[in-house]
Amino acid sequence: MQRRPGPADLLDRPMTSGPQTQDSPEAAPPERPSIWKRMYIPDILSGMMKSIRHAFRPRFTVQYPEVRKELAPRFRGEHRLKVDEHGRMKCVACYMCATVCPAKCIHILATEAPEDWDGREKIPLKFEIDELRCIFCGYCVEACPKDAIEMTTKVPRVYATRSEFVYDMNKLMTNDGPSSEFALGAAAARKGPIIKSAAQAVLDDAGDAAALPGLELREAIPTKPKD
Amino acid sequence: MDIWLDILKYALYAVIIFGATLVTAVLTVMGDRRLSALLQDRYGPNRIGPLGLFQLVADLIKLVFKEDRVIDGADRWLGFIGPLLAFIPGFIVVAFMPFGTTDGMTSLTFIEADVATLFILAIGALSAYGIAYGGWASNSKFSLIGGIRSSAQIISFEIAMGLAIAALILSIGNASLSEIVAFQVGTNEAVLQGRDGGEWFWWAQPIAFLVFLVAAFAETNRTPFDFPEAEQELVGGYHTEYSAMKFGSYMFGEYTAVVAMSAMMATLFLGGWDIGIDAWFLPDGQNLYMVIHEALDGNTWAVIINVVLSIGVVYTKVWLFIWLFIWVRWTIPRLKWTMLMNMGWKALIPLALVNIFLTGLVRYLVDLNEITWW
Repeated sequence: MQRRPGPADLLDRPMTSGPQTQDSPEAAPPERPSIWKRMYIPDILSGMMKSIRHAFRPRFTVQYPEVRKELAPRFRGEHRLKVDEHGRMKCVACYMCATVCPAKCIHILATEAPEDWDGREKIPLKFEIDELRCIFCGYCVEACPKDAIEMTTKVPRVYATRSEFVYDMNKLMTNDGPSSEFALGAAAARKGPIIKSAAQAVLDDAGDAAALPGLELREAIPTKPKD
Repeated sequence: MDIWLDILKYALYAVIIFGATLVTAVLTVMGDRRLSALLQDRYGPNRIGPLGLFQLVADLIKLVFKEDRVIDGADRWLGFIGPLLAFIPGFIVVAFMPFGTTDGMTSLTFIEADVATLFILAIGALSAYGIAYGGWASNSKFSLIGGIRSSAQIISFEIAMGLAIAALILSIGNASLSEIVAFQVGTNEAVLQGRDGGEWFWWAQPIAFLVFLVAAFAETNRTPFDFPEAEQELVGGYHTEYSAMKFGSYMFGEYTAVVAMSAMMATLFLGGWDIGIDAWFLPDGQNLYMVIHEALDGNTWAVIINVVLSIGVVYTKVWLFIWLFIWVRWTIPRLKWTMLMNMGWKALIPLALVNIFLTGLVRYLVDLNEITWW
């Protein structure tokens, strides 16, 4: 079909490409829609029928905190320091997690390991994670060569002061247990004792907070599930 | 002495109108939030109060205590008047609405006026000033654009609205709202003298209904015609720079305008307090209110029952239109402002004019008894 007059006619040199140089169906503009379509009314009515159908569908909102969402096991929540089968913490104070942390929220002080801990050179004297600065990226877990730190499925708890967000070594080691409440949704509403971690059991057996150097025993703060 | 009684009476009317419209507007806002949520697969506010209905009270309390910032270079006087002008006309419009009946013949209104239709059109246009002032007084280009868009939009659609109503007035011969309702009920003088009435105007004047409906959406700045706010383009449009109760006045004023427009549409096109389907069961010229009134010999019980019933009927119709406003809001996307203006001037006004011509023609032929089937 004949090319319609367009900007190409005003050029000094001929246009050599583009839709207006070829005789193709795309060269012409689309046809004006019918009067029925241009009135929009039938489209509006059909649209209204579509939107009213949404009124009869179930709603997606999860009514937190009465209902909790089921979290995947890989959910990156609060951190936890793991212990090995002897009850000793796995962490060797290599500073990998502190180095890789984008938010610089891990603070470690290394010290000499006790002599009877075979094969160990260092253990952390102080291991603190400021959960308020933490961005929960999981890099520390990926960086750790000893699988000593992991992220539980505990949704990070809130406190009234900034200092309470700084989790020290003891709190981090005893941070498991209630994670199952948050991960299992309705099943989590059942109350029960906080499951003691292996580390806690070891510390209890040791009987004395001064057994491991630099450790101060503090109670794991229990969470209060809404009943 | 009488003048004091009159003043007291009108003060009481004012309080009742204000209270009723305020409560309806509050319910409209909450209804908007929850019904919008219903259409969007989510819950709306459902924590505060039963069904979340006190959420707006909480919001208004917060707005009252917020700091009222006035930006540099803003026009303080216009910035003060603007929200008021956006807020108040809705209440004035409601004052003229026939909200009920005692005996099925005449309407109860707070203000009975032969020029009611004209007056409410004029007052309704005042809200345009509120928005324009708000845009101008913000000393910001984008707010100004929002304000200008709004005034242009409202002016254009005022014309279409007026022309749509003109066809109704032509049908009746009287601009009073009570007469319009009486015509739709069938108790108007002209109807009783033989003209065919008793039809709700949405059926008798469908073109006028369509034009008025579209114009009402444009008047109240509701989507798809909410260009003055245009949240995705202008941040807040004319009310960006307002905080605290000035913003609250604009927001609330918009919903009050929705209530006022719904009341107007319910009165003009849906027959006001007329039940309508009682015509299927009762003989010609009778409606349920008359039956109740006669059955109880017009004593106080009949009056009370009729008033309560008729107010309920009007309220239901108003809420029907409010639901329509909300439903359409979440169906249609906002197109372009130029398309809106094209529609206002090139589609609605000619349509309304054609409608007036047809109405006049039909009335002429009916009066000459050339056609009897209308």
